Amino acid sequence: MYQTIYESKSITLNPVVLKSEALIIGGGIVGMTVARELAREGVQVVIVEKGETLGGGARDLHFFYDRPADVQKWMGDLISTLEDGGNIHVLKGAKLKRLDGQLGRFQALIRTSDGREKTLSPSVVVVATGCITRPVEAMSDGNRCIGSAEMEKLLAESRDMPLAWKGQPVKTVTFILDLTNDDIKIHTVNAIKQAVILQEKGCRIAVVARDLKVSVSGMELLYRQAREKGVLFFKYDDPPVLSHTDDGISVEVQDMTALRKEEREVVSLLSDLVVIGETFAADPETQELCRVLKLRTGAGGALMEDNPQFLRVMSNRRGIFLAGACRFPQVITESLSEAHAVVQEVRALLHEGAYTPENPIAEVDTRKCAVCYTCVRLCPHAAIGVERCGERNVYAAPAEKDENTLWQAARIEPAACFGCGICVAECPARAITLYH
Amino acid sequence: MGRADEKQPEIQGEPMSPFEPKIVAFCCEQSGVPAAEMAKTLKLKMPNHLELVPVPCSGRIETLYLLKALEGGADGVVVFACHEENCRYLQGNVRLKSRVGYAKQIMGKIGLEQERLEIFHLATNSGVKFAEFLIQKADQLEQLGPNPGKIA
Repeated sequence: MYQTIYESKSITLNPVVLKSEALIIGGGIVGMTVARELAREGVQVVIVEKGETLGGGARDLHFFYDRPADVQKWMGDLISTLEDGGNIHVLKGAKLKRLDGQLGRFQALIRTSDGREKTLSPSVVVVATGCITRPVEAMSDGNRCIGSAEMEKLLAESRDMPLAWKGQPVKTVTFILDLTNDDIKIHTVNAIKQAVILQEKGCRIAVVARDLKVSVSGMELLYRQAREKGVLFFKYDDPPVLSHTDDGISVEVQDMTALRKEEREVVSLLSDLVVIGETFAADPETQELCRVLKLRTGAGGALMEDNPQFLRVMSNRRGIFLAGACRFPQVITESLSEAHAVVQEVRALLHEGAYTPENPIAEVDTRKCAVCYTCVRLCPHAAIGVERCGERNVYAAPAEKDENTLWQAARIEPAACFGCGICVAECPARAITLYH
Repeated sequence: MGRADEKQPEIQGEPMSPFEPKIVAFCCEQSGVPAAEMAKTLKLKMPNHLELVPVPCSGRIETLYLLKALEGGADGVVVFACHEENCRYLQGNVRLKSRVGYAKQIMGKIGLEQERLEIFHLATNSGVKFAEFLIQKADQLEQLGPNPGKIA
């Protein structure tokens, strides 16, 4: 039934030696977890952190939704294990400037804040740069209107005392979710987590959301707990209207419980404090990093798009892995499981000490190559480069090329080739063959 | 490759359709091939004259392949590719789209109907869609008649 179009010949390929060295970009919780796990396996790890402190986005968090531990204390323990571990080297205030080569031959140039440059040759690069948050401007003045991170801080400051905001006691709090980032779960998780804590302090809590997203492990339980404790949940279609009153903010939301539209009533929630989830967005510096790493960016500038053919932690280049919020903003638990997935993948790649390329693989016939750079530009895995073959540039028609006239030709790195055949189909000189 | 309409035997005196189109289907190994296998396992009805050509990625298909298939006796060429943004090699199906566009341009110039060449995006589990599309395509090609461009 089938007719094959590949060359029946297959080529034997030399394995690429992989040293046990990993470069981790980003010193947030994901980067640190990956570093700790890999160092435990005996991998030499270098963490490149652009800031002066480790921790990243998790520094805004104080409570886990699924366990009573304090995030900051847990992270402090994590950082201290990193800083006295022998296999881990942390470069603070550093940036990745260049990454040359392919799997097994990566050459990374790192510039530290004091202007010094450092060259590393890691076998694996893990990108865990995270994302940025922006406050949502729901009202013209920010009075009595705070972000989720600020609420977290307030809660951490007033552990056993009643909640106060700028010296005023807070009795009623309304959470407004899903004004931005309708597709992510962080807002729901944070709001319900904070609502349960606030309810225990004796506040009256209402959560106004478009859709509650509880598809994280243990979240369903927490949601039920919140309901049983008396947290009010409202669903909206049209965003709620906020207005200042004498001693607080009134949040007007349409009650959606009535089936018929004309029976729906507007509920006014008088609150001392309104908490609005921040906007999560891709870090603008990610663009620069993607250019350096030759990675693809997906919607909104985040790293890679969601592709069902890929493992989530895989990037378009072999040997480069992605984890955490740089790919998609997510809850700590999910980020950590992604970090563990990266550790698994890295372990699988490094455990033999070498990577043997597998067929199908494309190969360039250097005699036919006209160095037009079509394949170099098209390769989705950045596996093709142009390399110098001879000493001098002698002009010769492609058919007349021999060892003496061959100067430059495209070369496909077998270790980085995925065998898709895009370059084979595009090569105008038909110089590329896909071996199977 | 002989013309299908020339050697149609009469079976049990029943009048056969005078023309049965031949379809060449290029299948991406990520989606088209599993779908074809599924269609085969499910024993779905498929056109009689069908040739499946597996390719590692739909991006592997050259413009020339499409035109050569038409020249070599196919009445229609179908490319089964993954849905856009679902390519395992990220942009293979995007490359394919531009190449099919180019091939259609050439076909327009030489006077071939553009319906003879089509991309169909599908997923791994679309065996039924695969068969349905081929049947529908065969009907459409039957209406169009034999490919005038083939060199038999």
